[in-house]
Amino acid sequence: MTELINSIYIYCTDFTITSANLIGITYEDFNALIFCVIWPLLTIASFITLFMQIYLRHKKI
Amino acid sequence: MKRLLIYIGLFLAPFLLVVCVNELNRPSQLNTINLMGKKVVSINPSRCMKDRCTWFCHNHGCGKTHGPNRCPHQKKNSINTGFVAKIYWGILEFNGVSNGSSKSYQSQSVMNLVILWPLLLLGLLILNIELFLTRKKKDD
Repeated sequence: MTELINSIYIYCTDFTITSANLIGITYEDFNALIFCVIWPLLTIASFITLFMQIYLRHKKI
Repeated sequence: MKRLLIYIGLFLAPFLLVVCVNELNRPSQLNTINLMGKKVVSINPSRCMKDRCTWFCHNHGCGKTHGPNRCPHQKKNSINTGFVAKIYWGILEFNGVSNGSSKSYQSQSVMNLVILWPLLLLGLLILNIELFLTRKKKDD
């Protein structure tokens, strides 16, 4: 199990390093962009949309 | 059935992207990194390179200009600064980067950033689509 987790970790880290090099930013910048900017914004936006839809659904009933 | 296939596609799309990016950029010669005393095969090299990021950046940070692990880069951090850097290190700390066990850091990172958070995003996306379609059906 540990080996599988290590392999996934290495593969995903390799993806972030390769993507950073392809885009032309640093590895840390790419990580920060994904995990500190894009994903949190997407999560917050998804929650807001969900609550708005629930509100609109109840309002109509 | 068609909707289920779309949801499965949405679930698999990010993983396919990871595989495509990695496999299209896999070098012909194998690189190895040292992970917890074991040598393992990796796509990127472990040595410092001035023109690109490598596992050196993962292990020691990007573009250190002084100290024993210095590796001056042409590129410099522009997003991972200030408030964003605080969140970044908060996430690393949450995953246990400084608790002394790299084994638990790796499993925590995989659990939180590869499984749980993407699943939460997928769940929210599916809920939003389902609610939207239900509302649309009612309106019609």
